[in-house]
Amino acid sequence: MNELLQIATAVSHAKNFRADPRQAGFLFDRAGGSFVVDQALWKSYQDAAEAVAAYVVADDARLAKILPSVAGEQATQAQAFIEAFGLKAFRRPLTPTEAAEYKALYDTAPGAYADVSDPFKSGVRLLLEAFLQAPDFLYRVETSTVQQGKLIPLGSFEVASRLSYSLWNSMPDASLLQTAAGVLDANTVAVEARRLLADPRARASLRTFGTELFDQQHFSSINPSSKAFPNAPAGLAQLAIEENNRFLERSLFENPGSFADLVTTPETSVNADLAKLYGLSGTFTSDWVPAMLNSAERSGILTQVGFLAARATSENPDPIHRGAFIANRLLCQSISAPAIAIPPLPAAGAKTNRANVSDHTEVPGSACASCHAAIINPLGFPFESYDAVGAFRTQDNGVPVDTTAMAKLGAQTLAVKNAIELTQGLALSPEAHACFGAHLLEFMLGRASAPLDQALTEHLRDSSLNNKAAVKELMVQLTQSPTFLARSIVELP
Amino acid sequence: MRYGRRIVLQGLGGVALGMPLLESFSKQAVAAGANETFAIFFRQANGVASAQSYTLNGTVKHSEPERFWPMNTGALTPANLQGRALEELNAYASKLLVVGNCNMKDFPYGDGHARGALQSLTAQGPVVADAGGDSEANGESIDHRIGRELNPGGRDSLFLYAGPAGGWLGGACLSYRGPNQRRASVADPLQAYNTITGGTSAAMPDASTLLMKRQKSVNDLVRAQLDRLLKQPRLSKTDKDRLDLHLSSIRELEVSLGCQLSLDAEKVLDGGQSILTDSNGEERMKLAKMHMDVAAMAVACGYTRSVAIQFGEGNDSSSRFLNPDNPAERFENFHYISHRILSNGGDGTEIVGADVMHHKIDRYFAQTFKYLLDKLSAYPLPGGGTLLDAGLAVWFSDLATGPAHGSQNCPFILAGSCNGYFKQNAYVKLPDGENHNQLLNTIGTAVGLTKAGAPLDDFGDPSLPKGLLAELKA
Repeated sequence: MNELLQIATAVSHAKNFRADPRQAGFLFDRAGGSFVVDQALWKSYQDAAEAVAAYVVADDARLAKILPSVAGEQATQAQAFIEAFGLKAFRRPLTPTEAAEYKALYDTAPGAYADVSDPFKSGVRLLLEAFLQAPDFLYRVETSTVQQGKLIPLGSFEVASRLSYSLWNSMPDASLLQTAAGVLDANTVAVEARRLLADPRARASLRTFGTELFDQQHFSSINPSSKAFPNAPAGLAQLAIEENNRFLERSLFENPGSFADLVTTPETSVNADLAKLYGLSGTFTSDWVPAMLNSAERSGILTQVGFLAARATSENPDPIHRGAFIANRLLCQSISAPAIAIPPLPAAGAKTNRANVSDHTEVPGSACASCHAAIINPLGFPFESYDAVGAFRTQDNGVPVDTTAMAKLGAQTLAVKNAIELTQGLALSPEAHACFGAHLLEFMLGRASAPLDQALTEHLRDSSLNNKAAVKELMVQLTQSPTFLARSIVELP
Repeated sequence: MRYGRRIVLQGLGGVALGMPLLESFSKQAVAAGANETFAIFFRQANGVASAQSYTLNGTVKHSEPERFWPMNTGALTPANLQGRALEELNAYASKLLVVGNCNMKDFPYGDGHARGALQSLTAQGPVVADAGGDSEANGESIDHRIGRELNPGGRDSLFLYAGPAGGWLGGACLSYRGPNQRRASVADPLQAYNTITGGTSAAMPDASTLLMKRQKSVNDLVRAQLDRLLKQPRLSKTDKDRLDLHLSSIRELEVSLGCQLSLDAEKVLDGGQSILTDSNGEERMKLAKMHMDVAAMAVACGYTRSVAIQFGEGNDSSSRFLNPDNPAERFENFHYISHRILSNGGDGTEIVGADVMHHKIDRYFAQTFKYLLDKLSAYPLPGGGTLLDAGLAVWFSDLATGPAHGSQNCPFILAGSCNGYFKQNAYVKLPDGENHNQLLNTIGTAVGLTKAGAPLDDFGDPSLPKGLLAELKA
C-alpha cells in the first residue's frame, strides 16, 4: 500500500484482518495455498478500501502523490489517473474494457459522498475504493495461455510482478514497470533482479527469508530458569531476536554470503550482554557492533544464542529438538511424529543430559530408537557444548561433555567431534544445499516445492555447493529458470 | 496489505492467483429465519472429569469417581444429575439429550488431540499419517457442509475461535472446506457481527442511500472482474474454487437489517478485541459468550444454519481458570490439569486435586453452554416455543478423558430438538463400536442435509459404518 499510494505512513488496516488458517508443515508465510477471501475477509477488504480512499482524498497533499501531472478537463485528468493508477495497482496496463469500466464508475461519482463536493475528488475516491477491492489488485493474476512444450511462458508484466514480489515482497516500481513495457528477456530479468536485490527494499525480504527458515518465531519462547542461570542477561529472547536480525541482514543483504557462510561463519553482532555470554573480551556497551566469535567454539547460525536457547528447556539443552530441526529443516528429512502418549524426558538426576536423552530414546529395538539413534540424536548431541542459554560449556553435571556423533547427512554418515565439525559437514553436504535450494524456491514462488522442480533444485544445489554462490546470486539464478519465467501446465502445490 | 497475502498460485495454465437486548428485536429477527433448523457447535478440549483409572509416572495408580455423566440412562431428573457437571444445565433438562458412548475411530494422527479435534466435526482421518501436531483432516466438516448446502447462496457458515494464535495444531482447527483445506476462523466478535450485518449498526440502523449506491457500484464492477477471471481458459480447480468463494462472499448492504443488536450489545462485542489473546479462563469464556451472542443472532436472522465455536487451541494448553471456590487461586493450564501433572506428556510432578479442578472446569464449560441456551431461548417463535426448539446446540469434547486421551465415550451434549427430531430429557448410551460419524449423520439429517433426497448416512471417512442413530430420534 505504501508503494502504491506513495505515502510513507499509510494507515494499516491489515492488522484487523482475520488470521489465515494454518497450513501443515513448514511453509513460508507468503505461501498462498490456504489464502481465500471469505465473507469475513471480503468485509475487511471493503472496510479497508473505503477507509484508505477517504484518507487519501481528504488531504490534497496525499491526493497529489497519486495524481499524474496532466492538464486539462477533470474528465481528462480522471482518464489519466485511471490508466496510471491502474498500471500500478494491477501491475500491468489496464485493458480498454477495464479502463472504460472504471471511467464509467467515475462518471457515477458526483454527489456520491455527502462530505465531498468536488466531483473529481468524489470520483477518485470511488475509483480508489474499487481498485483496492479488485481481484487483479488482491491477487497476482497470470493469464498467459500460449503453451510451449510443458510450459506457458509468462508475459513481461507477469514476470515483473514475480520479480518484485519474490525479492521485495511488494509491487514493481516505476522503473520495473517501464522495463516490462518492453521486452523482458532472461538477460533483462537478471539485470533487474540484481537491481532489486541491491535496493534497500530487499533488506527486509531477505531477512524474512532467514528468520522464517531458521524459525526465529520460536526464539520468543526463550525463558531460562533464573535459578539455573542467575547471571543470564535479562530479556534474552529479545537479544537473540536482535542478534538474529542483524546477522541475517548482514549475511544476506549487506555482505552477501552463501549457505555455507550462514552455517559456518563465526561473525555476528553483539552488545555488552551477548559479548559476555559469548565470552568476548574487550569493551562493549548497549550498542550493537559486529564481532568475531571464537572460531573454535562458534560456527554459524546454529551456534548462536537464538537457535541454542530456543531449543532448550529452561535448564538443559534439548538435543532432540536441535537435531530434529536440522534433520527436518536443513536436510529436508521427513520424521514422523512420536507415538501418542510417549512419556517426556525424565529428570537427569546424576546423569549427563546426553546420557539421559540416550537412555530414554535409544533403547535398542524400541520404536523411538529408529529415528532417535540413527537420525535425530546424532545431529543434536554435537551441540551439548552449549547450555540452555547458548553459552559454551565443557562440562555437564561435573562430567566432560561428549559432543561426538555419527551424524547422518543425507547419504553420508559423518563422524564429527563437535558442532563445529557438524556445521562444516553441513556446508559440504549436497543434501543440505539441495534442501536450502528447495526452500529458496519455496520462498520466491510462494508455494511448496514439487517433483517438477527437481532440475532447478539440483542446479541451485550445485551452484551453492560447488561455487559457493551467495544467496542473492542463487536468487538471480532462480529468476533465470523456466520455473520462474513460465507457468507449469500442471497444477502445482 | 498483509504480508504475503497477494500470492501467485500455480494454475493449470489458466489464471494463477498469485444485543438490542434480544427481547426488544427478537420478533423482527426470528421472522427472517423462523423455524429453520440449525446447529451450533461448542467445543471443549481435553476430555471431561468422568470415572476413570490411570497410572501416573509409570507406577502410581489413580482412580477417579464419576463427576460428569448422569447416574443412569433415561430422564435427566435433578437427582440423576446431582453432583455431576451436567447439573449446571438442570434448567434445560427438558430440552437436553445427553449422548453417551459416542466413539471416535482411532485414526493414525500420531497425536490424541489431533485425532480428536480434527476428527470431531469431519469424521475423517489424517491427510498424512502420524504427522502429529502437523496433521490436517482429510475431508469437509459438518458445520461447513451445512452452510454450503443450506445457507442462502451457499454462504460460508460461521467459524468462531476463542484461543491463542498458533499453538498446538495451529490454533483454530475444527472446520474444514475439504481435504487438507482448513478454514479461517474469526476471533473478534465484532468483526463477525459486522460480517453478518454488512456494516450497519444500531448507531446507524438504516444504511445511507449514498453508501448503498456506492457499494453496489463497486460490487458490480468487482463481480464482473471475477466473472471474467472465472472464464479464463484452463483455470485450475484450486483457483476456480477460490474465485467462486470470493464471488459468493460479496454482499450488498441492505436498507435496514432486522438483525442488529442494540448499541449496548454492540459495545459489549467491541470489548472482545481487547481480550482476544487473554488466556485467563474467565476472559476467554467471556469471549466465547460474545461468540454465542453473535451465533444466536446469526441463526435467528437466517444468516447461517450452522456455527462452530472452538474454545482453546488443539490441546488447550493456554487457558488458565480461576478456582471458583477460591478466586485467589488460578489453576495450571487446562492441558496440565487434564493430564493431572505439570507436563504435556505422561511423566511429571503430580498436581494434587487435578481431577476436582478438571471437574470445576467442566462446570465452567457447562455454564457457558447454558449461556448459549439462554440466548437461543430468548427468541420466541411465532408458533410457540423458542429458537432453541427449532435447532440444536451441541457442547462436545473431542477427547473422552484427560490422562488417557480416550477416543471412546466422547461427551456430546445436545440441546434443542431440531423441530422435534431429537429425543429430549434423556441420557442415551449408544451401542458399542465406532459411531461418532453416525452421530454427525444424524445431526446433519436433523438440520436438513440429505443424500440425494434421502437422509444423510455416509458423512465422513468411507471406511466408517453408515447409517443414523435411531436411539436419538424422538
